[in-house]
Amino acid sequence: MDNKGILTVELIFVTLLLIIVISSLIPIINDRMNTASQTDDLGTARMLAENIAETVNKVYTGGNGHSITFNMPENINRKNYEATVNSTGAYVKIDGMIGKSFTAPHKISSSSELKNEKVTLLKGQNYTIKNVEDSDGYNWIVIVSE
Amino acid sequence: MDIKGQMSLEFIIMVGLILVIVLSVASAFGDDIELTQAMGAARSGAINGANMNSFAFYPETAFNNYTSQNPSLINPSNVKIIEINYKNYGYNATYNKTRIQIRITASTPSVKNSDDRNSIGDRINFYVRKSICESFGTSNLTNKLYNPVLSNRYIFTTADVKWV
Repeated sequence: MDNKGILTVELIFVTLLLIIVISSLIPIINDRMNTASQTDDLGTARMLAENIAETVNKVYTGGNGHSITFNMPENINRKNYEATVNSTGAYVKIDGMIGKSFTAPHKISSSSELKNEKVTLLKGQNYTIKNVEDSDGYNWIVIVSE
Repeated sequence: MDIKGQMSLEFIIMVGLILVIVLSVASAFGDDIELTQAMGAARSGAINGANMNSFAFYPETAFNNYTSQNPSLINPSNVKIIEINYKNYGYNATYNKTRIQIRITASTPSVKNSDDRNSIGDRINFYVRKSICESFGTSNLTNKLYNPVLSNRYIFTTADVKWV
């Protein structure tokens, strides 16, 4: 009976010590998990920006008539995001953070009317990115939803 | 029944005694536990800040500032945290706490400009302080730059990032 009692006392002592140690570790573990999750989000957002910029550059260098279809993801790790393209690069915004991937400078339009503008790419949409030459011989990037 | 009653009483007294011992031990080690917690949070914050520069994703205000003043930071750069250490400056009478200064050592071979490096360093330090502050839940006791950060026993500041 005494032996059992001693075992219990040790167990209680160790358990209480463990509770104190673990309780001080919980905020750190929580912090690390948040950091890992944010790293994942930012990495995916960066890849999306790079892919958009790369596609625009490919279409531009492909010359008049060259086009590529680009599929926008529904979300980034289940999070909302915004993507835009202007004449200097592709921007992705997520969780209040914004990043840019540079493209070679060229005019961008969202219609065949060829107005230089910032084009917003909507989530889950498919876009045709096309190289169009205007009457003055300038090449435009036209981005239209399919 | 009596026997069972005695067992319970002994058990409760034992638990109470052990609780008192454990709490007094925890209190004695409290300084170390708090400092360990702060350094753990500092590490998370430093990684967070470095990640932002690595992926070149920033809060919108910072992004706009970098676009006009530090355009090279708009591109991703390789930022690596090498070391995180601290220096104890002893008791600070103003805050009635022990002052700890945290110093981050980092490397970024792709960024050579000192102004750009300062901006990266400031961002890393900001997230180090923010992380410590959030880990202790003392955001209401500091300013919007989280400088200084207060805990029960310590006051934390950051030194300029050392680049290697």
